[in-house]
Amino acid sequence: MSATPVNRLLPPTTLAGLANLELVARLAVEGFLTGLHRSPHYGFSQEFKEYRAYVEGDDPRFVDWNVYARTERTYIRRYEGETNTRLMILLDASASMDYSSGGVSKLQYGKFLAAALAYLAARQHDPVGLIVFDEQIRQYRPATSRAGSLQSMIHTIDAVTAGRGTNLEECFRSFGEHLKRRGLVAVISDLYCDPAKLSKAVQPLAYHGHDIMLFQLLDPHELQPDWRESVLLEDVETHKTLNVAPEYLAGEYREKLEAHIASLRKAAADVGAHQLLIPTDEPLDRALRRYLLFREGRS
Amino acid sequence: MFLAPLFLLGLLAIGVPIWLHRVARANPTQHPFASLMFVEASETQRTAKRTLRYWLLLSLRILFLIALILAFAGPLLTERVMSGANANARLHAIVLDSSLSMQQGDRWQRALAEADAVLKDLRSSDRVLLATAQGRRVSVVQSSTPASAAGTVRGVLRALKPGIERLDYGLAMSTADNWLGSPRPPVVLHLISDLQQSAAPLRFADLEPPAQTQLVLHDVGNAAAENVFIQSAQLTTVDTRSLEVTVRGTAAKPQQRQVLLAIDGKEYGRRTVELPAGGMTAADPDVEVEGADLTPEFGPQAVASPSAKVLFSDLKLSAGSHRLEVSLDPADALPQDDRFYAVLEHADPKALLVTPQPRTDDVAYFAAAIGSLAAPALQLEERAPDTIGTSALTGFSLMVISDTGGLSDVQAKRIKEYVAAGGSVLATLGTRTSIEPGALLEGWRISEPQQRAAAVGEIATTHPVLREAGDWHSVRFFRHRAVQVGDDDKVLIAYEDGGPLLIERTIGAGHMLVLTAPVEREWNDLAIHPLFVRFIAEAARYLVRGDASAASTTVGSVVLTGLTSAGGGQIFDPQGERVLGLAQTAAADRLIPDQTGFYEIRGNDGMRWVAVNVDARESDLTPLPASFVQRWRAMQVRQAVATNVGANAAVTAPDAKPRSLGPAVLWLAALLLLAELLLANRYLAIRRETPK
Repeated sequence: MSATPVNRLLPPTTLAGLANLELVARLAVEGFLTGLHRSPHYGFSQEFKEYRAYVEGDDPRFVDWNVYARTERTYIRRYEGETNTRLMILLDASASMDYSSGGVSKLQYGKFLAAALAYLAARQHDPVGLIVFDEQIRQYRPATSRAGSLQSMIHTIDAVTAGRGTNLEECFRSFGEHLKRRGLVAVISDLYCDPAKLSKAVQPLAYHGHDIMLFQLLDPHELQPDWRESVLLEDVETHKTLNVAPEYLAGEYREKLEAHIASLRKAAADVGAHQLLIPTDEPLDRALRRYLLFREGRS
Repeated sequence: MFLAPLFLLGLLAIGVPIWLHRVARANPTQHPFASLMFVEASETQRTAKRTLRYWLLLSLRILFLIALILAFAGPLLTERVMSGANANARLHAIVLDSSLSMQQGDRWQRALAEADAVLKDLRSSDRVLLATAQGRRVSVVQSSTPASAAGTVRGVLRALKPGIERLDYGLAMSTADNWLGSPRPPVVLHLISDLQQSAAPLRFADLEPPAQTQLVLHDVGNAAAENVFIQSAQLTTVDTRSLEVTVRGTAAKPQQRQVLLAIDGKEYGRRTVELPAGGMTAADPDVEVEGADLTPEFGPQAVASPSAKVLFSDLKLSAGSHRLEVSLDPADALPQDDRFYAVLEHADPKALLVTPQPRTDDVAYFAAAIGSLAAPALQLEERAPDTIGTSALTGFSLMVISDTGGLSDVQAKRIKEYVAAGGSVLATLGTRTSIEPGALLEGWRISEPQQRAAAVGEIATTHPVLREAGDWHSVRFFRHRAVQVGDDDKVLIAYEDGGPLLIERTIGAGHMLVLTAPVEREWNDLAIHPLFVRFIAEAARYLVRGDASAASTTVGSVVLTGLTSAGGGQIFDPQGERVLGLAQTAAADRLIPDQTGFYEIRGNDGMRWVAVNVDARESDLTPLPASFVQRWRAMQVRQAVATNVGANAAVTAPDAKPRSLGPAVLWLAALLLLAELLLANRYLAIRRETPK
């Protein structure tokens, strides 16, 4: 029973893509640190993963000189770190996440992303937890790295359905009760909220040492509405309707949305979090790669 | 107006596009959206433009449906609608007096100038109608046309010529409702005439114009106009060989004329006549002068001018019919009335006494009475009924039948044909008369004689036969029979119980006088009564038209030709042209002459002449008195005021010939459909947007 949803959510192409990536925690968290973490508090273990050509800027300490002696080429030794960094995935299952303009909905995309993150963390034997929320926390799975937990996790993710409205700020205040130990918090949401309030809600988590990643999922049609005639738009959460002109959607709406995204990015940066906008028509592996590369660049 | 107004119910289909467009506008494309956090309600120019397109498309569709339904309903454009667009529209009816008097001097040219002036003053919204009036008719020569077609009316106007008949204003006014047409807008009736006094009607009320008509009188006459004419020419009552010619004239100066008499186309003699200016006339010894008559104000038949009589005595004429033509020399400005035509029957008329028993009392009484007549002097011939079946009857001016019961059916039919051809019969219902009326008295119901006394009741003393009737009431009737006559028969003398005694019956061109009681002493004492001979004389004079020895008629009057369907015949006008076509020769029992001169009527029973003259009343150029014209105008002013009370009555035009607009509306529908297709094809391509 558990094999089917795993295979559906994580097709082999996605798994192959994820296999080439390395999840690197930017901040060392308390606990057991192995791999490439720069944690000053705990020892580390490393396992050779692959060679990579040296490029300017790389740390020369990781150059494999034996290889250089044989080939006269500089290669960097790359390691796959084993870490006990907790990953807590916060999946927004509000009604707005169920919006789709034709492809996969934001919620479905978010479920893909959550499963991928969980799988990636499981590969690194990191404890992975899950919180599903909309106006309130609907489901909570504490982080664990026990064998077989991945399938259970993925099954839980697969069963998530869209709920009602969103109350991101209230939910973040509740997250503190479930996130006692520092770790990585991946928030998957469309982030239709006030950036200032979000920053205020996220701030306590950051102060507790959590490394927060905000995955903002938006439908391409939300980013660039291309109606050429006036349309009556219905809010999928409040069911309120508005007659909107295409000129407004092409102009003022985009400006407001871009300003909102910029505000979110700034609010996230203010509290040490990272915000990443992911259109739902973007390949999933590319989104993960972009994120991990970003994390790698930050490290 | 519509040919098929029920199709107008299809206009309800207009609701379909209206409903569809309302739905389209009220149900814009609705899309779910993740969040309206950054969305505000807004309307755009594009939407407004599309709304405009929707309205344009909706209008086209509605117009197309209306045009299609109207095309099926068959709209008719009437003059009512066309003229209704302009409530100030007037119909100017120009009536030209084309009677004989309009030929005098330059009256006709002035009449044309007046008509032209009326045409110039027309407003663009007006309509104009052109008619001529003479005789007993008003001829509409140009029906109601818009003022813009005044050029056409002028063309018609220039082609008009005055006639030779007489006009009666009363006849023109009383028939105006008919020749003006109906429905029509308010009418301005321009009567262009010389306003002759003799054209006034007997009843002043006949001059009242129809409702919603303003009468404008255009006087083109000349009060100082002079005219001398021949009023009559007839044999004198004392000497049937003397012809008396009456000449009348209106002139400021004494007039001298030569009066020429031509008989059968050859000049017989001439006399000179002088007419003073309204005074006594110094004339030849044969000329007798009369003083001027005082004409009553509304006496159209009275002629006010002085007259003179010229006598052509001792005419030496052979027996038979002669054509007399009297003319004045020199002719004046109105030459048509300077000639007078008459037909003279220069022969003592013959009377035929038809009796089954020659030696009875009634035959003796009739023979004695007729034989005593001096004027007309009748040559009496007596025959038995069985002899009239084969011999010609046309030579007899009068037929006296002592007992209609003695006639067989064939004889009765023969006599009936004789009467229908213009003959005259004096008959009595004798003792042999049965209750079967026979062909001669067809339609009557005759009862058996009743043995009781009776007396005369009502007498039609206005009839020529009974003007000096005498004391019919003293005639004693010992027995009589009841007779019911036909509707067309006139009872001249009736018994006290209403039963007819003397009846006049008209058959074709002839007359019959029928006494329902025989002249026998067993029935009555009429034969020995003093009035009997006078009655027979008057009846004979009336039946043989003794005062028409020099007979003539006037242009436009009805002449009985005596041509029957059985006999047939032909009529030749004064120019020698055939009047009747081949199809008419069988039944042309009446003739309305339109030329002066001698008409020749050739029938089965021979040939006869009819002399036709202009109406002498038309020769009197005396204008209507000013007071008369004033009263006439006052009458139409009152009438106009009365019309204004109902001024909002329907304004309509004459000769309303509805024009079908169906084809035009159908073309319009086709154009609208084409436009709708093009527009819809263009607009509907972007009507609904779906996000990609």
